[in-house]
Amino acid sequence: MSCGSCCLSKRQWPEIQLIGGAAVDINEYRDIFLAESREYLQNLNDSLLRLEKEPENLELIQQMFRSAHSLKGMSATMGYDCVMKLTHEMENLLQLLRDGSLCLSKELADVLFSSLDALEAQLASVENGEKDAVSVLPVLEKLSAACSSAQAAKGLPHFAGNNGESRLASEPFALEEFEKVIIREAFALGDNVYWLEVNISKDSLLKSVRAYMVIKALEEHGTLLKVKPSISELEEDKFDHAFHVLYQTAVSEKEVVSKIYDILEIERVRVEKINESQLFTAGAGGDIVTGSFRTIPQVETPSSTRVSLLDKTVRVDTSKLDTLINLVGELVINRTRLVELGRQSSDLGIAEAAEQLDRITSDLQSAVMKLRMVPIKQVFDRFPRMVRDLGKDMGKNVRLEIVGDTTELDRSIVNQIGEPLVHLLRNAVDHGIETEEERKKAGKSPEGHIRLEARHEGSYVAIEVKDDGRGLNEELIIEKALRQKIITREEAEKKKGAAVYSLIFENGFSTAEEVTDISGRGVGMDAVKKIVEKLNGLIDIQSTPGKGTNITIRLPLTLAIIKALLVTAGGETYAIPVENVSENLYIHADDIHDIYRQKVISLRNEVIPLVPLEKSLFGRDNLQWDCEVPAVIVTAGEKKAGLLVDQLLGQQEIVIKALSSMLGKIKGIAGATILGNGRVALILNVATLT
Amino acid sequence: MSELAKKQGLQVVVFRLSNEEFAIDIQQLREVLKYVDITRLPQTSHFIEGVINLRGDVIPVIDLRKRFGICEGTIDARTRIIIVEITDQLLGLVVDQVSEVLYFSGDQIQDPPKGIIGDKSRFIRGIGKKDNRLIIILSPDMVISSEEKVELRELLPEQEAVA
Repeated sequence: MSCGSCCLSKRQWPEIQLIGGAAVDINEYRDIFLAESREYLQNLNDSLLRLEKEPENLELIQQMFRSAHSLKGMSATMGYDCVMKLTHEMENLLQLLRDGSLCLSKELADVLFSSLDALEAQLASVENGEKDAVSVLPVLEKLSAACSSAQAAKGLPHFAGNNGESRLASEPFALEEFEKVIIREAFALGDNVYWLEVNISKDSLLKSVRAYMVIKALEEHGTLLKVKPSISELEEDKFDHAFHVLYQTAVSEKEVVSKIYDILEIERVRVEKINESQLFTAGAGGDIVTGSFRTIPQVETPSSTRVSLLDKTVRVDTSKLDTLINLVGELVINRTRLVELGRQSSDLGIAEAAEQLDRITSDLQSAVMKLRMVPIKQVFDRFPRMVRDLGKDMGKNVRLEIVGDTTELDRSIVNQIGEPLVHLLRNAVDHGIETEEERKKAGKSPEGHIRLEARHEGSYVAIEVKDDGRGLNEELIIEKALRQKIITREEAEKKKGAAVYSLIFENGFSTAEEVTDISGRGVGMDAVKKIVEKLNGLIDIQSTPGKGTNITIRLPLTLAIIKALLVTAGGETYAIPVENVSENLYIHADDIHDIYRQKVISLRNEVIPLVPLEKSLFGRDNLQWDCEVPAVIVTAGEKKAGLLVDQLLGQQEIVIKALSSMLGKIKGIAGATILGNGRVALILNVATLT
Repeated sequence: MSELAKKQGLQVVVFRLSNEEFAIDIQQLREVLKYVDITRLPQTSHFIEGVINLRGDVIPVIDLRKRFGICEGTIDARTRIIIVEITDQLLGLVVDQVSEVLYFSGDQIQDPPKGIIGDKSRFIRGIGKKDNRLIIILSPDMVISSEEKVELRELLPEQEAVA
């Protein structure tokens, strides 16, 4: 069997060379390693989920094998042993799946899923800088147990994990099918393939270094198809003075040997040339297949998948992106100034150039703004797995359908929306979807259905979680709300439908009859609502008893740019977010009344207090009450007020800038923006303005 | 004054508030701007003038003249805003005039005279003496982090100490 062997590719070597020169700081590569590893892990998760549904799909197994293999190579390079061991055992198991000696049972899928979880945990510990902190032993044991039971069933000896590799050195080589394909390709290219046995002097104190030098020397003139024991084991000194290499090269046998003897402390090199016929007959000791040769579709070396993953995207530090966005924001501001100057100028050429610059800058701005946008797929991707596990834990049959995962949202929103969605999905599985028996009784299909959809709605993105479960129980909610003293009995009698449902967003509300492991751990829907509101979003709930529940979150496309109404007061310009503006009007002095020293107006039978903006902010009252005063009716939640200003300037899109933390929180001010003339305008926080 | 500065000396930017000369460590200085319009901020300390746009960043500005209780100076062609960096954040300081860059060798810098100005010495990194001039080297960190009222005369060593 091919336990410790490793099919190598050219791409993996340069990284190993980096380690060889010990001066290279491995941490530099850690972020790249983590990012790529997570991609592979996601890939493994996705493929495994699909494989569960279509266990015969060889292509999926092949994909998983490649991902596991790449992970193994990368982790070995980086020295993350636990990741390497895990992926190695996974490879073994996948190998058995691939050659048909094992079938993917539910138990086996669980073992694989748990190993993916262990991998995830490992990556997290790598990220936190605790190398190999979490034990992987239980998972490793599960994996190898799964392997060995399959082996036993097949009557083959169980191969011995990572230990006792040295016996392989004296064994004839056994080739895996995909390796044979590679060798045949080598022949097709007219290359020679050699089986090398390299013996390092018994006295050598640096045998792993010598082995490394041999491999490096060989790499210069050809490709290493297979190394036994594996390279990671060679690096770790886990071999007994001899190792084997299956080597593809254009140079002659003699040259290869002399190259190896150039290295110190090499005792003996044995070379065996492999010819095509040998491939099929020399199957001593291994699993060489005779007769029909099952070709695995699309044999790719792991590195080529990696190249394609990296080809499409460039990883850029987010702080660099933010700098770029800021610079463009500034360019936009300067453009506005220039365009204004152009208009005033009598020189037609300047005006024309300014206008052209205007257009280009607008395009540039929208292109750069798109850089902030990422597909919501990043968040959605982990949900199929989560829903599967939840359903399984609770003995429910649940299918998650995802729609519109390519919808793009501002990066900072995507980063924060994951947690609320996890909560909504958990609720749907836990409280929404019924057990199989209940569903059958209600005449529904036994499989519960949850639909997660993202779509554009104007300047908002709507994310909808819809289940076909039992729906919300109005009476139960009211009962609970009364018990938790969220509402009074009088209030309860007035509420109906959506108004009742929205009670579940209240602080401290949880409808789970008994606290299950999954939902109802204190953080409830109120936490979901808080996050959504923090992101300037809205949340909406609909439910039909017996038919299901539908929760929609609406989020602004971006946090960085908002539409605002610009006004002036006391010589300064202020921006009021349009969400807070309900209307603008001119108030005549005659319409203003005094109630308890508070000036108010009556607008369509509603009494609205008036707040002079300048007075509210700076305590100075310089308004002249004898003429018409422009006013903005603003709303914040239930509150309404009329802001009296000097001038209404109109609507504009503004880029939000945070105020320096040195200033602390300023009442009534949400942030700042920079106007076309280069001046700073403050953005009002209507909720805290008095 | 840190031991290092005493050993290696200190390069400072000298500016004027009213008739007094002050300085800050050039390492903390980012740039010097001509006076620009400042957007007022409500409900902040009296000496916080407001915010300005520095190439797309909104940064707070302090009027050092108000900070040290010197009557509000007029704004003229020599008025400057010096931008300093304090713990990774930028801050503007309004001063009457920026005059020069000076180098003080270690022995030209004295510790703030503790006995005379008491705990106000926190605002001062040291006092530089050169050619009969007496220059207060400010510690900008303290200038913003404290709400405490400081009068300029409290920062000045008494005349006999100079002599």
